[in-house]
Amino acid sequence: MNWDIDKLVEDALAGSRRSLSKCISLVENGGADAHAVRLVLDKLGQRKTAKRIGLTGPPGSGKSTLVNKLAEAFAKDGNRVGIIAVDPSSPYSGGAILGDRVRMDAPSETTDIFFRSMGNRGAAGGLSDACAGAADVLEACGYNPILIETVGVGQSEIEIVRHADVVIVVMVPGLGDEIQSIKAGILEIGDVFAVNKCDLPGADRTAHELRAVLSAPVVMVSAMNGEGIEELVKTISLLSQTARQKKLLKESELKMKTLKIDHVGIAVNSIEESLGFYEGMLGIKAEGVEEVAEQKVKVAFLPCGDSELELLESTSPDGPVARFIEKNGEGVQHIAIRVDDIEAALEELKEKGVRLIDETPRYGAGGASIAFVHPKSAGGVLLELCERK
Amino acid sequence: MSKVIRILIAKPGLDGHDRGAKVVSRALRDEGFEVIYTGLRKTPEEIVRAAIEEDVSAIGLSILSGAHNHIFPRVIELLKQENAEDIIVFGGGIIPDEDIPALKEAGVKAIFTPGATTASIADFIREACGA
Repeated sequence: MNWDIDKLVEDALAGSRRSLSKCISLVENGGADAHAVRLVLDKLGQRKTAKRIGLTGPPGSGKSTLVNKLAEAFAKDGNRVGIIAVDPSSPYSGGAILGDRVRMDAPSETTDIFFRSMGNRGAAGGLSDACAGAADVLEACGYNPILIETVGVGQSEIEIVRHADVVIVVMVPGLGDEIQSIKAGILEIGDVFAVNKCDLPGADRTAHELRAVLSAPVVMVSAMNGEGIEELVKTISLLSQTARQKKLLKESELKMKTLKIDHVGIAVNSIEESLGFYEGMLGIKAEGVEEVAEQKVKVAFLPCGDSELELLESTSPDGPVARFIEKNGEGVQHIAIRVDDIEAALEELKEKGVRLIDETPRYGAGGASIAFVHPKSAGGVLLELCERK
Repeated sequence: MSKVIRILIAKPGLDGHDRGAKVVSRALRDEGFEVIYTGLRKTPEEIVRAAIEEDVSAIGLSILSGAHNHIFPRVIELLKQENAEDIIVFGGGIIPDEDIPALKEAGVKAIFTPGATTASIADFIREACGA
Protein backbone atom coordinates (compact mmCIF):
# COMPACT_ATOMS: atom_id res chain seq x y z
CA MET A 1 0.00 0.00 0.00
CA ASN A 2 1.24 3.50 -0.71
CA TRP A 3 1.20 5.78 2.27
CA ASP A 4 1.68 9.50 2.08
CA ILE A 5 4.69 9.81 4.34
CA ASP A 6 4.22 13.42 5.40
CA LYS A 7 0.64 12.69 6.36
CA LEU A 8 1.64 9.47 8.09
CA VAL A 9 4.24 11.18 10.27
CA GLU A 10 1.84 14.03 10.98
CA ASP A 11 -0.85 11.58 12.14
CA ALA A 12 1.68 9.68 14.21
CA LEU A 13 2.78 12.86 15.93
CA ALA A 14 -0.86 13.69 16.56
CA GLY A 15 -1.23 10.46 18.48
CA SER A 16 -2.38 7.82 15.98
CA ARG A 17 -0.92 4.50 17.11
CA ARG A 18 -1.56 2.98 13.71
CA SER A 19 0.39 5.70 11.90
CA LEU A 20 3.20 5.48 14.43
CA SER A 21 3.34 1.75 13.86
CA LYS A 22 3.40 2.23 10.07
CA CYS A 23 6.25 4.74 10.42
CA ILE A 24 8.26 2.17 12.36
CA SER A 25 7.61 -0.39 9.63
CA LEU A 26 8.86 2.02 6.97
CA VAL A 27 12.01 2.62 8.99
CA GLU A 28 12.41 -1.11 9.50
CA ASN A 29 11.99 -2.00 5.86
CA GLY A 30 14.66 0.51 4.89
CA GLY A 31 15.19 2.08 1.48
CA ALA A 32 13.70 5.31 0.20
CA ASP A 33 10.69 5.32 2.54
CA ALA A 34 12.85 4.95 5.62
CA HIS A 35 14.93 7.84 4.36
CA ALA A 36 11.81 9.93 3.81
CA VAL A 37 10.61 9.33 7.38
CA ARG A 38 14.07 10.30 8.60
CA LEU A 39 13.92 13.53 6.63
CA VAL A 40 10.53 14.48 8.08
CA LEU A 41 11.81 13.81 11.60
CA ASP A 42 14.96 15.81 10.93
CA LYS A 43 12.85 18.72 9.81
CA LEU A 44 11.14 18.60 13.19
CA GLY A 45 14.52 19.21 14.76
CA GLN A 46 14.44 16.15 16.94
CA ARG A 47 16.58 16.53 20.03
CA LYS A 48 17.20 12.92 21.04
CA THR A 49 16.68 13.64 24.71
CA ALA A 50 14.42 10.73 25.61
CA LYS A 51 16.02 8.24 27.96
CA ARG A 52 17.01 5.08 26.15
CA ILE A 53 17.36 2.15 28.46
CA GLY A 54 18.86 -1.05 27.11
CA LEU A 55 18.28 -4.49 28.57
CA THR A 56 20.52 -7.34 27.61
CA GLY A 57 21.46 -10.72 28.98
CA PRO A 58 21.38 -14.41 28.22
CA PRO A 59 18.28 -16.15 26.82
CA GLY A 60 15.81 -17.01 29.52
CA SER A 61 17.26 -14.60 32.06
CA GLY A 62 13.91 -12.84 32.29
CA LYS A 63 14.56 -9.75 30.17
CA SER A 64 11.03 -9.55 28.79
CA THR A 65 9.40 -9.96 32.16
CA LEU A 66 11.71 -7.32 33.58
CA VAL A 67 10.96 -4.97 30.67
CA ASN A 68 7.29 -5.38 31.42
CA LYS A 69 7.77 -4.55 35.10
CA LEU A 70 10.03 -1.57 34.38
CA ALA A 71 7.64 -0.21 31.75
CA GLU A 72 4.78 -0.38 34.22
CA ALA A 73 6.83 1.32 36.90
CA PHE A 74 7.76 4.18 34.55
CA ALA A 75 4.24 4.43 33.14
CA LYS A 76 2.74 4.65 36.61
CA ASP A 77 4.72 7.85 37.11
CA GLY A 78 2.92 9.33 34.12
CA ASN A 79 5.53 8.58 31.45
CA ARG A 80 4.55 7.30 28.03
CA VAL A 81 6.81 4.31 27.62
CA GLY A 82 8.08 2.90 24.34
CA ILE A 83 9.42 -0.64 24.10
CA ILE A 84 11.41 -2.19 21.28
CA ALA A 85 12.03 -5.90 21.79
CA VAL A 86 14.30 -7.78 19.42
CA ASP A 87 14.25 -11.52 18.81
CA PRO A 88 16.40 -13.47 16.36
CA SER A 89 15.41 -13.96 12.72
CA SER A 90 16.01 -17.32 11.14
CA PRO A 91 19.20 -17.36 9.09
CA TYR A 92 17.52 -19.94 6.85
CA SER A 93 13.98 -18.68 6.17
CA GLY A 94 14.27 -15.05 7.28
CA GLY A 95 11.22 -15.65 9.43
CA ALA A 96 11.08 -15.17 13.17
CA ILE A 97 9.05 -15.91 16.24
CA LEU A 98 8.73 -12.67 18.14
CA GLY A 99 7.66 -13.79 21.57
CA ASP A 100 8.53 -10.95 23.91
CA ARG A 101 4.94 -9.71 24.03
CA VAL A 102 3.96 -12.88 25.84
CA ARG A 103 5.41 -11.44 29.03
CA MET A 104 3.40 -8.22 28.84
CA ASP A 105 0.50 -7.75 31.19
CA ALA A 106 -2.77 -6.45 29.83
CA PRO A 107 -2.54 -2.76 28.89
CA SER A 108 -4.21 -0.46 31.36
CA GLU A 109 -6.57 2.34 30.45
CA THR A 110 -4.61 4.91 32.38
CA THR A 111 -1.12 4.25 31.08
CA ASP A 112 0.43 4.45 27.63
CA ILE A 113 2.92 1.75 26.73
CA PHE A 114 3.75 1.18 23.05
CA PHE A 115 5.29 -2.21 22.44
CA ARG A 116 6.99 -3.16 19.20
CA SER A 117 8.65 -6.49 18.41
CA MET A 118 11.41 -6.76 15.84
CA GLY A 119 13.32 -9.56 14.18
CA ASN A 120 17.03 -8.84 14.08
CA ARG A 121 16.92 -9.59 10.34
CA GLY A 122 20.46 -10.85 10.22
CA ALA A 123 22.13 -8.01 12.10
CA ALA A 124 24.93 -9.09 14.40
CA GLY A 125 25.37 -7.61 17.83
CA GLY A 126 22.05 -8.41 19.49
CA LEU A 127 19.88 -5.70 17.92
CA SER A 128 18.31 -4.99 14.55
CA ASP A 129 19.57 -2.26 12.25
CA ALA A 130 16.28 -0.41 12.59
CA CYS A 131 16.35 -0.13 16.39
CA ALA A 132 17.81 3.34 16.53
CA GLY A 133 15.44 4.66 13.87
CA ALA A 134 12.42 3.10 15.55
CA ALA A 135 13.47 4.65 18.85
CA ASP A 136 13.72 8.04 17.13
CA VAL A 137 10.17 7.66 15.80
CA LEU A 138 8.88 6.72 19.25
CA GLU A 139 10.67 9.66 20.78
CA ALA A 140 9.23 12.06 18.22
CA CYS A 141 5.79 10.80 19.17
CA GLY A 142 6.37 11.64 22.81
CA TYR A 143 7.57 8.35 24.24
CA ASN A 144 10.13 8.66 27.02
CA PRO A 145 11.74 6.50 28.30
CA ILE A 146 12.30 3.97 25.54
CA LEU A 147 13.22 0.47 26.65
CA ILE A 148 15.23 -1.58 24.18
CA GLU A 149 15.48 -5.30 24.77
CA THR A 150 18.16 -7.21 22.87
CA VAL A 151 17.96 -10.78 21.68
CA GLY A 152 19.21 -13.27 24.23
CA VAL A 153 22.95 -12.71 24.06
CA GLY A 154 26.08 -14.68 24.75
CA GLN A 155 29.30 -13.03 25.71
CA SER A 156 30.02 -10.46 23.11
CA GLU A 157 26.89 -8.96 21.55
CA ILE A 158 27.32 -5.42 22.71
CA GLU A 159 25.67 -3.29 20.03
CA ILE A 160 23.20 -2.00 22.64
CA VAL A 161 25.96 0.21 24.08
CA ARG A 162 25.73 2.51 21.08
CA HIS A 163 21.98 2.96 21.36
CA ALA A 164 21.22 3.16 25.06
CA ASP A 165 22.09 5.77 27.67
CA VAL A 166 21.91 3.18 30.39
CA VAL A 167 22.56 -0.52 29.81
CA ILE A 168 21.08 -3.04 32.22
CA VAL A 169 22.71 -6.44 32.03
CA VAL A 170 20.28 -9.04 33.32
CA MET A 171 21.98 -11.95 35.04
CA VAL A 172 20.59 -15.03 36.73
CA PRO A 173 22.09 -17.39 39.29
CA GLY A 174 23.66 -20.63 38.19
CA LEU A 175 25.40 -19.63 34.97
CA GLY A 176 28.95 -20.21 36.07
CA ASP A 177 31.58 -19.47 38.64
CA GLU A 178 33.47 -16.27 39.27
CA ILE A 179 35.78 -16.67 36.29
CA GLN A 180 32.74 -15.75 34.17
CA SER A 181 32.47 -12.46 36.00
CA ILE A 182 35.94 -11.27 35.01
CA LYS A 183 35.61 -12.03 31.31
CA ALA A 184 35.58 -9.29 28.73
CA GLY A 185 32.55 -8.44 26.62
CA ILE A 186 29.04 -8.15 27.89
CA LEU A 187 30.08 -7.74 31.52
CA GLU A 188 32.01 -4.63 30.63
CA ILE A 189 29.07 -2.80 29.13
CA GLY A 190 26.62 -2.84 32.02
CA ASP A 191 25.88 0.45 33.74
CA VAL A 192 23.85 -1.57 36.19
CA PHE A 193 23.52 -5.31 36.72
CA ALA A 194 20.21 -6.86 37.65
CA VAL A 195 20.46 -10.28 39.21
CA ASN A 196 17.02 -11.59 38.31
CA LYS A 197 15.21 -14.54 39.86
CA CYS A 198 16.69 -13.44 43.17
CA ASP A 199 14.45 -15.88 44.99
CA LEU A 200 16.41 -18.79 43.51
CA PRO A 201 19.22 -20.44 45.45
CA GLY A 202 22.62 -19.06 44.52
CA ALA A 203 21.35 -15.55 43.68
CA ASP A 204 23.20 -14.05 46.63
CA ARG A 205 26.41 -15.65 45.50
CA THR A 206 25.98 -14.42 41.93
CA ALA A 207 25.42 -10.87 43.17
CA HIS A 208 28.38 -11.18 45.52
CA GLU A 209 30.70 -12.37 42.76
CA LEU A 210 29.60 -9.55 40.47
CA ARG A 211 30.04 -6.94 43.18
CA ALA A 212 33.52 -8.22 43.87
CA VAL A 213 34.74 -7.43 40.36
CA LEU A 214 32.46 -4.69 39.04
CA SER A 215 32.24 -1.06 39.97
CA ALA A 216 28.71 -0.80 38.51
CA PRO A 217 25.76 -1.18 40.87
CA VAL A 218 24.35 -4.68 41.24
CA VAL A 219 20.65 -4.88 42.10
CA MET A 220 18.84 -8.07 43.07
CA VAL A 221 15.39 -8.29 41.54
CA SER A 222 12.60 -10.68 40.88
CA ALA A 223 10.80 -9.59 37.74
CA MET A 224 8.15 -12.15 38.48
CA ASN A 225 7.07 -10.89 41.90
CA GLY A 226 8.27 -7.31 41.63
CA GLU A 227 10.97 -7.47 44.29
CA GLY A 228 13.73 -4.91 43.81
CA ILE A 229 12.06 -3.21 40.84
CA GLU A 230 11.71 0.08 42.69
CA GLU A 231 15.39 0.10 43.57
CA LEU A 232 16.30 -0.73 39.96
CA VAL A 233 14.15 2.15 38.65
CA LYS A 234 15.82 4.53 41.08
CA THR A 235 19.28 3.35 40.04
CA ILE A 236 18.41 3.77 36.36
CA SER A 237 17.11 7.29 36.90
CA LEU A 238 20.27 8.33 38.72
CA LEU A 239 22.52 6.81 36.09
CA SER A 240 20.69 8.19 33.08
CA GLN A 241 21.15 11.77 34.19
CA THR A 242 24.89 11.65 33.70
CA ALA A 243 25.12 8.75 31.29
CA ARG A 244 23.82 10.53 28.23
CA GLN A 245 26.56 13.13 28.20
CA LYS A 246 29.26 10.67 29.06
CA LYS A 247 28.20 8.44 26.20
CA LEU A 248 28.10 11.32 23.76
CA LEU A 249 31.61 12.26 24.77
CA LYS A 250 32.76 8.66 24.37
CA GLU A 251 31.21 8.46 20.95
CA SER A 252 32.90 11.62 19.79
CA GLU A 253 36.22 10.35 21.06
CA LEU A 254 35.71 7.19 19.13
CA LYS A 255 34.90 8.74 15.77
CA MET A 256 38.28 10.25 14.97
CA LYS A 257 41.33 8.20 15.67
CA THR A 258 44.75 9.71 16.01
CA LEU A 259 47.56 7.22 15.65
CA LYS A 260 50.86 8.95 16.43
CA ILE A 261 53.08 11.89 15.69
CA ASP A 262 53.78 11.31 12.01
CA HIS A 263 56.46 13.91 11.63
CA VAL A 264 57.75 17.27 12.79
CA GLY A 265 58.23 19.80 10.02
CA ILE A 266 61.30 22.02 10.33
CA ALA A 267 61.83 25.01 8.08
CA VAL A 268 65.43 25.30 6.94
CA ASN A 269 67.31 27.58 4.59
CA SER A 270 69.13 24.64 3.01
CA ILE A 271 68.46 20.95 3.40
CA GLU A 272 72.00 20.16 2.47
CA GLU A 273 73.45 22.37 5.19
CA SER A 274 71.01 21.06 7.81
CA LEU A 275 71.82 17.46 6.98
CA GLY A 276 75.32 18.22 8.20
CA PHE A 277 73.87 18.52 11.65
CA TYR A 278 71.18 15.81 11.58
CA GLU A 279 73.21 13.23 9.74
CA GLY A 280 76.65 14.22 10.89
CA MET A 281 75.95 14.98 14.54
CA LEU A 282 72.83 12.93 15.31
CA GLY A 283 73.24 10.10 12.84
CA ILE A 284 69.71 10.43 11.50
CA LYS A 285 69.90 9.51 7.84
CA ALA A 286 67.74 11.25 5.26
CA GLU A 287 65.61 9.04 3.07
CA GLY A 288 65.28 10.75 -0.28
CA VAL A 289 64.41 14.29 -1.17
CA GLU A 290 61.16 15.19 -2.85
CA GLU A 291 59.81 18.39 -4.31
CA VAL A 292 56.19 19.37 -3.71
CA ALA A 293 55.57 21.95 -6.39
CA GLU A 294 52.21 23.02 -5.08
CA GLN A 295 53.77 24.09 -1.80
CA LYS A 296 56.90 25.48 -3.44
CA VAL A 297 59.00 23.33 -1.20
CA LYS A 298 61.68 20.67 -1.24
CA VAL A 299 61.34 18.04 1.44
CA ALA A 300 63.70 15.56 3.09
CA PHE A 301 62.41 12.90 5.47
CA LEU A 302 64.60 11.73 8.30
CA PRO A 303 63.10 8.65 9.97
CA CYS A 304 63.58 8.76 13.71
CA GLY A 305 62.07 5.79 15.53
CA ASP A 306 58.35 5.62 14.84
CA SER A 307 58.20 9.17 13.54
CA GLU A 308 60.15 11.37 11.21
CA LEU A 309 61.69 14.76 10.95
CA GLU A 310 60.74 16.62 7.81
CA LEU A 311 63.16 19.26 6.62
CA LEU A 312 61.49 21.88 4.47
CA GLU A 313 63.42 24.12 2.10
CA SER A 314 61.56 26.67 0.05
CA THR A 315 61.99 26.53 -3.71
CA SER A 316 60.72 30.07 -4.20
CA PRO A 317 60.96 33.28 -2.14
CA ASP A 318 57.16 33.56 -2.04
CA GLY A 319 56.50 30.00 -0.82
CA PRO A 320 54.96 29.41 2.60
CA VAL A 321 58.21 28.07 4.06
CA ALA A 322 60.17 31.08 2.82
CA ARG A 323 57.59 33.37 4.37
CA PHE A 324 57.75 31.40 7.63
CA ILE A 325 61.52 31.80 7.81
CA GLU A 326 61.26 35.48 6.95
CA LYS A 327 58.94 35.95 9.91
CA ASN A 328 60.31 33.52 12.47
CA GLY A 329 63.69 32.43 11.29
CA GLU A 330 64.52 28.76 10.85
CA GLY A 331 62.81 26.31 13.20
CA VAL A 332 59.86 24.04 13.84
CA GLN A 333 57.17 24.98 11.35
CA HIS A 334 54.49 22.38 11.87
CA ILE A 335 53.64 19.16 13.68
CA ALA A 336 51.85 16.36 11.83
CA ILE A 337 49.55 13.87 13.53
CA ARG A 338 48.66 10.71 11.71
CA VAL A 339 44.97 9.82 11.63
CA ASP A 340 43.27 6.67 10.39
CA ASP A 341 40.70 8.44 8.22
CA ILE A 342 41.51 12.01 7.28
CA GLU A 343 38.19 12.76 5.61
CA ALA A 344 36.24 11.64 8.65
CA ALA A 345 38.59 13.58 10.90
CA LEU A 346 38.14 16.79 8.89
CA GLU A 347 34.40 16.41 8.85
CA GLU A 348 34.28 15.90 12.58
CA LEU A 349 36.55 18.84 13.32
CA LYS A 350 34.52 21.06 11.02
CA GLU A 351 31.37 19.97 12.80
CA LYS A 352 32.90 20.98 16.09
CA GLY A 353 33.80 24.41 14.77
CA VAL A 354 37.55 23.92 14.49
CA ARG A 355 39.15 26.30 11.95
CA LEU A 356 40.67 24.42 9.07
CA ILE A 357 43.08 25.68 6.43
CA ASP A 358 42.22 22.71 4.21
CA GLU A 359 38.64 21.47 4.37
CA THR A 360 39.46 18.62 2.02
CA PRO A 361 42.64 16.54 1.99
CA ARG A 362 45.37 17.21 -0.54
CA TYR A 363 48.58 15.58 -1.65
CA GLY A 364 51.54 15.72 0.68
CA ALA A 365 55.13 14.55 0.41
CA GLY A 366 55.65 10.81 0.67
CA GLY A 367 52.26 10.06 -0.85
CA ALA A 368 50.25 11.05 2.20
CA SER A 369 46.85 12.73 2.23
CA ILE A 370 47.24 15.84 4.32
CA ALA A 371 45.32 18.85 5.61
CA PHE A 372 46.27 21.72 7.87
CA VAL A 373 44.40 22.93 10.94
CA HIS A 374 44.63 26.66 11.57
CA PRO A 375 47.01 27.66 14.40
CA LYS A 376 44.20 29.84 15.79
CA SER A 377 42.38 26.61 16.69
CA ALA A 378 45.44 24.67 17.74
CA GLY A 379 47.09 26.80 20.40
CA GLY A 380 49.40 28.59 17.97
CA VAL A 381 50.71 25.39 16.38
CA LEU A 382 50.36 24.79 12.67
CA LEU A 383 48.89 21.32 12.88
CA GLU A 384 48.94 18.93 9.98
CA LEU A 385 46.70 15.86 9.85
CA CYS A 386 47.95 13.12 7.62
CA GLU A 387 46.81 9.72 6.52
CA ARG A 388 49.10 7.21 4.89
CA LYS A 389 47.69 4.27 3.01
CA MET B 1 14.60 -6.50 -0.51
CA SER B 2 11.06 -7.81 -0.47
CA LYS B 3 9.01 -6.79 2.49
CA VAL B 4 8.78 -9.31 5.32
CA ILE B 5 5.16 -10.21 6.10
CA ARG B 6 4.29 -9.83 9.76
CA ILE B 7 1.58 -11.99 11.31
CA LEU B 8 0.02 -11.95 14.76
CA ILE B 9 -0.91 -15.34 16.16
CA ALA B 10 -3.29 -14.79 19.05
CA LYS B 11 -4.96 -16.90 21.68
CA PRO B 12 -8.21 -15.21 22.62
CA GLY B 13 -10.48 -16.31 25.38
CA LEU B 14 -9.99 -18.66 28.22
CA ASP B 15 -8.71 -21.94 26.85
CA GLY B 16 -5.15 -22.71 27.82
CA HIS B 17 -4.13 -24.98 24.98
CA ASP B 18 -1.66 -23.34 22.64
CA ARG B 19 0.08 -26.31 21.06
CA GLY B 20 -1.73 -25.58 17.81
CA ALA B 21 -0.88 -21.88 17.90
CA LYS B 22 2.78 -22.71 18.54
CA VAL B 23 2.93 -25.30 15.74
CA VAL B 24 1.44 -22.80 13.30
CA SER B 25 3.76 -20.02 14.53
CA ARG B 26 6.79 -22.21 14.07
CA ALA B 27 5.67 -23.35 10.61
CA LEU B 28 5.10 -19.75 9.51
CA ARG B 29 8.52 -18.82 10.85
CA ASP B 30 9.99 -21.49 8.61
CA GLU B 31 7.99 -20.08 5.71
CA GLY B 32 9.73 -16.74 6.21
CA PHE B 33 7.08 -14.79 8.12
CA GLU B 34 7.74 -12.72 11.19
CA VAL B 35 5.30 -14.15 13.69
CA ILE B 36 4.36 -12.23 16.78
CA TYR B 37 2.84 -14.55 19.34
CA THR B 38 0.60 -12.99 22.00
CA GLY B 39 0.57 -15.73 24.62
CA LEU B 40 -2.53 -17.15 26.27
CA ARG B 41 -5.85 -15.65 27.32
CA LYS B 42 -5.94 -12.36 25.49
CA THR B 43 -8.99 -10.18 25.13
CA PRO B 44 -10.07 -8.98 21.66
CA GLU B 45 -9.00 -5.49 22.78
CA GLU B 46 -5.48 -6.66 23.60
CA ILE B 47 -5.25 -8.56 20.33
CA VAL B 48 -6.28 -5.59 18.20
CA ARG B 49 -3.93 -3.31 20.09
CA ALA B 50 -1.07 -5.75 19.54
CA ALA B 51 -1.93 -6.08 15.84
CA ILE B 52 -1.81 -2.31 15.42
CA GLU B 53 1.40 -1.75 17.39
CA GLU B 54 3.11 -4.56 15.53
CA ASP B 55 1.79 -3.43 12.13
CA VAL B 56 0.85 -6.94 11.06
CA SER B 57 -0.81 -7.83 7.78
CA ALA B 58 -2.93 -10.57 9.28
CA ILE B 59 -4.20 -11.92 12.59
CA GLY B 60 -4.56 -15.65 13.14
CA LEU B 61 -6.91 -16.48 16.00
CA SER B 62 -6.53 -19.89 17.61
CA ILE B 63 -9.42 -21.03 19.72
CA LEU B 64 -10.50 -24.32 21.20
CA SER B 65 -13.01 -23.15 23.78
CA GLY B 66 -16.04 -22.72 21.56
CA ALA B 67 -16.25 -18.96 22.02
CA HIS B 68 -15.35 -18.23 18.37
CA ASN B 69 -18.85 -17.06 17.41
CA HIS B 70 -18.51 -14.26 19.91
CA ILE B 71 -14.80 -13.50 19.81
CA PHE B 72 -14.01 -13.54 16.08
CA PRO B 73 -16.68 -10.96 15.12
CA ARG B 74 -15.64 -8.85 18.11
CA VAL B 75 -12.03 -8.68 16.86
CA ILE B 76 -13.27 -7.62 13.43
CA GLU B 77 -15.54 -4.98 14.92
CA LEU B 78 -12.66 -3.52 16.94
CA LEU B 79 -10.43 -3.45 13.86
CA LYS B 80 -13.11 -1.43 12.09
CA GLN B 81 -13.28 1.00 14.99
CA GLU B 82 -9.53 1.53 14.64
CA ASN B 83 -9.77 1.99 10.87
CA ALA B 84 -7.69 -1.12 10.52
CA GLU B 85 -10.07 -3.40 8.69
CA ASP B 86 -7.40 -3.96 6.05
CA ILE B 87 -5.75 -6.34 8.52
CA ILE B 88 -6.81 -9.83 7.45
CA VAL B 89 -8.38 -12.10 10.08
CA PHE B 90 -8.23 -15.88 9.87
CA GLY B 91 -8.93 -18.52 12.46
CA GLY B 92 -8.21 -22.05 13.47
CA GLY B 93 -9.08 -24.58 16.12
CA ILE B 94 -12.10 -26.62 17.02
CA ILE B 95 -14.73 -24.86 14.94
CA PRO B 96 -17.84 -26.77 13.80
CA ASP B 97 -18.47 -26.69 10.06
CA GLU B 98 -21.91 -25.16 10.55
CA ASP B 99 -20.40 -22.08 12.24
CA ILE B 100 -18.04 -21.30 9.37
CA PRO B 101 -20.44 -19.52 6.96
CA ALA B 102 -21.52 -17.03 9.62
CA LEU B 103 -17.92 -16.34 10.62
CA LYS B 104 -16.98 -15.70 6.98
CA GLU B 105 -20.02 -13.48 6.67
CA ALA B 106 -18.68 -11.51 9.65
CA GLY B 107 -15.40 -10.97 7.82
CA VAL B 108 -13.16 -13.87 8.81
CA LYS B 109 -11.26 -14.65 5.61
CA ALA B 110 -10.45 -18.32 6.27
CA ILE B 111 -10.96 -21.00 8.90
CA PHE B 112 -8.50 -23.86 9.32
CA THR B 113 -9.80 -26.85 11.21
CA PRO B 114 -7.96 -29.99 12.39
CA GLY B 115 -6.14 -31.64 9.51
CA ALA B 116 -5.34 -28.43 7.64
CA THR B 117 -1.69 -28.37 6.60
CA THR B 118 0.59 -25.57 7.72
CA ALA B 119 1.58 -25.11 4.07
CA SER B 120 -2.05 -24.33 3.20
CA ILE B 121 -2.08 -21.65 5.91
CA ALA B 122 1.12 -20.10 4.58
CA ASP B 123 -0.21 -20.14 1.03
CA PHE B 124 -3.45 -18.52 2.14
CA ILE B 125 -1.59 -15.71 3.94
CA ARG B 126 0.72 -15.03 1.02
CA GLU B 127 -2.18 -14.84 -1.38
CA ALA B 128 -4.34 -12.74 0.93
CA CYS B 129 -1.45 -10.33 1.53
CA GLY B 130 -0.73 -10.10 -2.18
CA ALA B 131 2.79 -11.46 -1.83
